[in-house]
Amino acid sequence: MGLTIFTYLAAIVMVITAFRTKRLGSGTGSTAFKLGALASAAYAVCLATGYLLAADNQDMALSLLRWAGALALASYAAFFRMALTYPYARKIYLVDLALTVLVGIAVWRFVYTADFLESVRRIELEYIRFEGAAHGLLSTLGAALALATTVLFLIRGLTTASRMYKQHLFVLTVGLAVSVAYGYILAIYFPGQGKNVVYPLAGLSALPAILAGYYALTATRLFHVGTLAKSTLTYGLLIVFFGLPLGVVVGVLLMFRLDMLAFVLGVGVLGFLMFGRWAEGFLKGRFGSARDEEAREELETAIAHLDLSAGRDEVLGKLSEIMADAFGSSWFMAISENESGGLSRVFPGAEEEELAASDSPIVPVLTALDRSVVLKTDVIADPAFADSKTAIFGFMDALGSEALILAREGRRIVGLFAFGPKRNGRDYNALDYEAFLAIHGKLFVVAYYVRHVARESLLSTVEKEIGLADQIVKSVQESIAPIDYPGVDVSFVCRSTRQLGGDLYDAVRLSEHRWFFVVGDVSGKGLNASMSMIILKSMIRTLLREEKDFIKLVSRTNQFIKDHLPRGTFFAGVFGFLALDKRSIYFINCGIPAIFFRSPSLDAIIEVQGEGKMLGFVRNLEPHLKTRRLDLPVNSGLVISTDGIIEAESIRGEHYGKERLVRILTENRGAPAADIVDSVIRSATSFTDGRLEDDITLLAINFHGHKEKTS
Amino acid sequence: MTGISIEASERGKFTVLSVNGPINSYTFTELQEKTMKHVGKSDLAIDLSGVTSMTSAGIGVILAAIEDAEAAGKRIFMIGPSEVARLAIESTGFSERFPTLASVKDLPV
Repeated sequence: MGLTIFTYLAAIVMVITAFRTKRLGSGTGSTAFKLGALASAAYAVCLATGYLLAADNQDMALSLLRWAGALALASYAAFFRMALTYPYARKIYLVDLALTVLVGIAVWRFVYTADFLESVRRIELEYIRFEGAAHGLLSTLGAALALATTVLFLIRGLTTASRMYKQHLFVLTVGLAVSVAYGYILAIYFPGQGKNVVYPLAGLSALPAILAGYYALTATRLFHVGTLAKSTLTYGLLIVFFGLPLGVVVGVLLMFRLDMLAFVLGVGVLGFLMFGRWAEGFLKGRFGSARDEEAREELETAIAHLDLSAGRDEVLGKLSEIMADAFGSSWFMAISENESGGLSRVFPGAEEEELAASDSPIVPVLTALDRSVVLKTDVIADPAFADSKTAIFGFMDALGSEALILAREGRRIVGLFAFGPKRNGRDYNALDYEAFLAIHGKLFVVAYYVRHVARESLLSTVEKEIGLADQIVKSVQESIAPIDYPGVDVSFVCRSTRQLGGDLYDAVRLSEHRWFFVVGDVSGKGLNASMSMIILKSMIRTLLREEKDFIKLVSRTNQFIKDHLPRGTFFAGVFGFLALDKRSIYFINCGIPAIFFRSPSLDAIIEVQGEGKMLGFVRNLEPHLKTRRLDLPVNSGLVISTDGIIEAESIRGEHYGKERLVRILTENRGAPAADIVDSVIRSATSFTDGRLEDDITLLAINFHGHKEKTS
Repeated sequence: MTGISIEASERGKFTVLSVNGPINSYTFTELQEKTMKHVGKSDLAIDLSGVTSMTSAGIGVILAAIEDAEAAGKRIFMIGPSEVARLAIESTGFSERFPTLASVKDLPV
């Protein structure tokens, strides 16, 4: 088998590459590319198999090697066709016909005559080829077609205006040039000189061209030259200082211990597993992506530390400065959803300006887009934008923007951020794209802030924070669905001692008899905690629409906290489903300190929350989550409390505690839910001498008896 | 309102922050500032033996410090948490996320 194994592996790569381009659709040269890749893979297989059979079955070997020649020419013809129109889809039937005829003639002359090869044979590693009368002519024809294609790609690259396509075409030029040079040297020149040992590797020749073509058909962003250089240097050093020494060690071991092949290969694999990752990490830390990641983390930190209480204009002004420094943008614009569902520019400028009305075509296009970062180069080169290209391109052109970051809540655009051209005249590249993705979560927070907090000038300067609090609380509470059901009495209080806090109560009606609710506390204090709370609430509502599995809903909420909220953010609470037609409640305790159940049969208040795991501590919470079910008999009740009541401290430093809470609940058996809530708050306020220090949320549900709802 | 005191000292490669008093919504910013000053720059130990109460605000600061230290590849330990601090940590359901040692003497070299 020897070196031919590499040729077979390359053929597999080429076939995979050809089929992976399926999802890209057609119209950008992908059909020609697929034909070229499949022809190249067949060429590699024919060449390698022909070489192997040349020792024992010369007739079959001759046939396969003739086919290899024809397929190589067919592959070049396919690339030539691609070069004629790439990146555009133009139908040129005459050229297609001419190329098909050319390939047909090639197959005839290469395969069915002795023009190309008369016979072949192999003795051990010595491969002997008896060339036909037209071997030189046919080889030259193939090389000329490949060279013409290379030059065509180069000329198109030099003349095209789009930097994205320029990059594609230059990569194709280089890939094809390498393929041609490699193929000529190994398949034509060396055998002509009698050097045949590496002939089986000639089948690899198409690989650079195929990989370059695949890149051109998939890449939609400019590469960052520095990053490319660093990656090349990293992997170059990895090969020189790690790969080669390991290969030498394995080779030397094999020379002396050939009888222990498995052992030696095992040593090689073990060495690679043990030190390969370390070497890669070590080099990346010095030359590679680790520094880019550090820069992204610094950027995320800078955005996370924006003081939201400073007011909207100042927040956006600071954000604009951060963006200008990080990306070199000439300008930065914040756009927010307006009251009528359209999009308005809120920064820069003293007055808001509507950029798109709610019935503008761009609004549904952006809402339906399955990505949160859009570069202009993506819109140009990515076939995924085929249907939305006109609308997005028009919108970006009207703004003069080169990049957009979208913040969406479910099927609604909360806001978006537009970036002007770079000051140095370059395009946003793949490195910028990664950074945009990294900060998307943080910008989502800002978009929410912008959407829900009015302009600073509208706020009282004295009570700025209170003003913000009122707007936030209003925006949160106005969407809570009341649990209005016959025989069920619900009341809640959710308040912060300093106007702004992270306590959360939300309820969503799912059907006639069923409600989803969440009660809890997002860690942190002040405006930042409030913002995290609103975002979390919004995200839970979004996930509720997408996720039918209760445990997965909570698990994905946890994932969101880990990925998008500031470090150290966690959520202690409970997620519940009220199935009132089934007289049941299903809940997942995520660290709520108290759920009390009033049992009519036992005439007692029972603590039922059990153990819970808070959100935000581990990445995968799913294995830790447990759904509990509680039946609700007639005259039963539930009271759910966050830690604000339980841990309220008296002047003497004593905690209010669960015992006092149980006493109040016992005293108020049979009282309406609103009275239960009032009594607990009064008791805790009195206990602390009016100084409740923490946010408090309390939910009381009385189940008086199931009566069929008449609706 | 009882205040908080935080003293920084060095022990081997570790910066030790000794916290005394309550960690609540009034005092957590001081702990936040002190941890942010040291975390990620050196290995960090937070001595919680003198903590008289701890709310979710304190847990949040410590969790952020742990995550920052992990991101920077630095070590971080909680030292001898008082009963209230231990209960606050346990209430999260993830005590194992808070690497804890009984005393500063147990800090690795």
